[in-house]
Amino acid sequence: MNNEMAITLTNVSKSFKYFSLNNINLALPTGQIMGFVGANGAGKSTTIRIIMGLMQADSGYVEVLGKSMPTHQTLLKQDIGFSSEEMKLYGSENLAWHIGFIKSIYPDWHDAYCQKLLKAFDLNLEQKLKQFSKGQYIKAQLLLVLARQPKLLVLDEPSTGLDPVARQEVMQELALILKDEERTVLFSSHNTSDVEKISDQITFIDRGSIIDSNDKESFLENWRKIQVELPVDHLMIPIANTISIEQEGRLAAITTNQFSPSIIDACQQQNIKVLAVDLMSLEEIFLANVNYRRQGENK
Amino acid sequence: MTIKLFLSQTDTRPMYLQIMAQIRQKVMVGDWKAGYQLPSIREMAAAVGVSVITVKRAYLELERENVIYTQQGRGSFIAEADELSNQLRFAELDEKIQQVLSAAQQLGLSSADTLERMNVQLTLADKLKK
Amino acid sequence: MNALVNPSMILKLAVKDWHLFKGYVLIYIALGVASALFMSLPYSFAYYPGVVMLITVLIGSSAHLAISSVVSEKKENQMSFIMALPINVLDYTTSKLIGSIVIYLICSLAIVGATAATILLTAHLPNGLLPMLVMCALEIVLATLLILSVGLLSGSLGVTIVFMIIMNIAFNLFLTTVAQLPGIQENIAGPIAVFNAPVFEVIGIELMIMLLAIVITMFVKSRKTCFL
Repeated sequence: MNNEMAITLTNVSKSFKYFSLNNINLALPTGQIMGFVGANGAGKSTTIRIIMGLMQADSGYVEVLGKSMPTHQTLLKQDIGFSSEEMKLYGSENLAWHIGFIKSIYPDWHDAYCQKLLKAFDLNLEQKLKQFSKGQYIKAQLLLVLARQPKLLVLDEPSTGLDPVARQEVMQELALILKDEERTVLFSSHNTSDVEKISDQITFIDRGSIIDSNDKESFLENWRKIQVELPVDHLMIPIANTISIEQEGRLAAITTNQFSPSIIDACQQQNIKVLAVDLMSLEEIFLANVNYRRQGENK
Repeated sequence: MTIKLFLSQTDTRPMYLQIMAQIRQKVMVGDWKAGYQLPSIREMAAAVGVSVITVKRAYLELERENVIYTQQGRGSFIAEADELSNQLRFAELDEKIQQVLSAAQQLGLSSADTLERMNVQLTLADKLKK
Repeated sequence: MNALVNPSMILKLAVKDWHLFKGYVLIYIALGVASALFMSLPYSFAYYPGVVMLITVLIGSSAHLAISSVVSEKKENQMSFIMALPINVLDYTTSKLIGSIVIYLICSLAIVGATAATILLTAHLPNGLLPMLVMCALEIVLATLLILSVGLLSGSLGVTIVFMIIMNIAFNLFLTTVAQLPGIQENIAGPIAVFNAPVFEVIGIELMIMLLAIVITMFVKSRKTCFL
């Protein structure tokens, strides 16, 4: 089955007592990797659970691998691998038992790749899981989903809690999935540098709403921080597409989300001297985006 | 075949530019000669740990610069241009020179001054080599 | 492959639960058989303590199973691991309710069988006890099912434990009530095991409540919008 979209969320909403997910729209094409970035409590885990069919939305439409969730959850979960930070395995059992259990359920388990992962992640088959360190435990969970080589991988904070070495091991394995144009990955993370490096699509979520979603190169191309020198010590008049202006005295930094050379021209017309035009890291873009939205909400 | 590109996290240039620079390096040094078939976009992405969309952009830009060419269904290859290695080295130096000229202008120095400073630096460099 | 329930997955989940609990089953069977043997000792101090030991093992093992099978998985966040498997909430509920009862029955039947054999083979223990044994053992199975249901529906350790205590109290009331029912009372101390209409009525009611509990639990679970 060759589907254009691996995941589509249309106007998905879900209310809880103290939190609600509002009108989530999300689309992830097959063969791409999407990084899902948001503060704690922003709604990443809830959105992911709805995608996995672990929770039913109050309204809206959820389509995964061409079928609706959670109606077809049994069929779909054959082809989806899920791992989340709060997920626990059975501490009294060892990794060999867990592998046996998963193997008995998924006939397309890849033994050779499993062996490779055991070596790469340096995991012991015989040791009881409750004796694993935190990093080993997380890697064991990831091994159990990676070795199935599922069509869709949904990972809720796969690298959180991993030391730099372990993180590199994990990101390397995720990168291998890039080779296959039929396999798709959605992962949420606090580590914006990982997201920035490996994602094709990036989605920002804050306080239950999607605040921005685009392909990575567009994000990096559209956002700039422009350092300027103002002609007089006045408050600057915002130029179009300005997200924020930080100013002290005659020096200011303008953050824009739709950079084009016409902005430089506009500055020069106002007699403003452009000192530097800097690219922004994904983390800076995310923070600027969130602050802008939250200020808008507070007005 | 293992692909090794040396990408840096602290390098502030966008990923796609770094990839382009590394590929140009390989051509300049002679490791990747004319007609050499580049790894597919996905293979390169997986090897370097970078998103497919970034590698795609790098390949596209390189094609625009005539460093590589792409054949539908077959892949991407290093261009057959004569003296491509030299061309690339000159292009990279030109870029640096433009930065110097722009700095000179910002500092309010004339072309004559700029040229003189260049000669001073060249002489110094020659002295250090001996 | 999009049936309402997936029997092969339900079986796999139940087998997993059996693997995790089988060590304890052996221990409880051993304790239960020991209690039955103690009960059968030809001393006046043996009978009632023996009965209490027997009941303790039967009820204790069921409490342990219910908690480790249902509440533990929820508390320990293993739910998202299990629900990420190709199953739906009905598969999970069925494997917990029916699978756990089967596991408990293995334990219970072994103990009850040993006790029945002890009664039959021991001269001073009247065979009239057998119907009481069956009805009481079945009541504990029923209580186990109800505790599993409460555990599945509440997801709370506290609520489940309180309910367990209530079931314990209910068992005591059951024991004294049934022992005084006309048609049953007269035969308890007798030499013959009498399985008459009143006995079958009690067993029938127990089985019906079990069926009702299963149906209600599955229904309520299927209505929830959070499957974790």
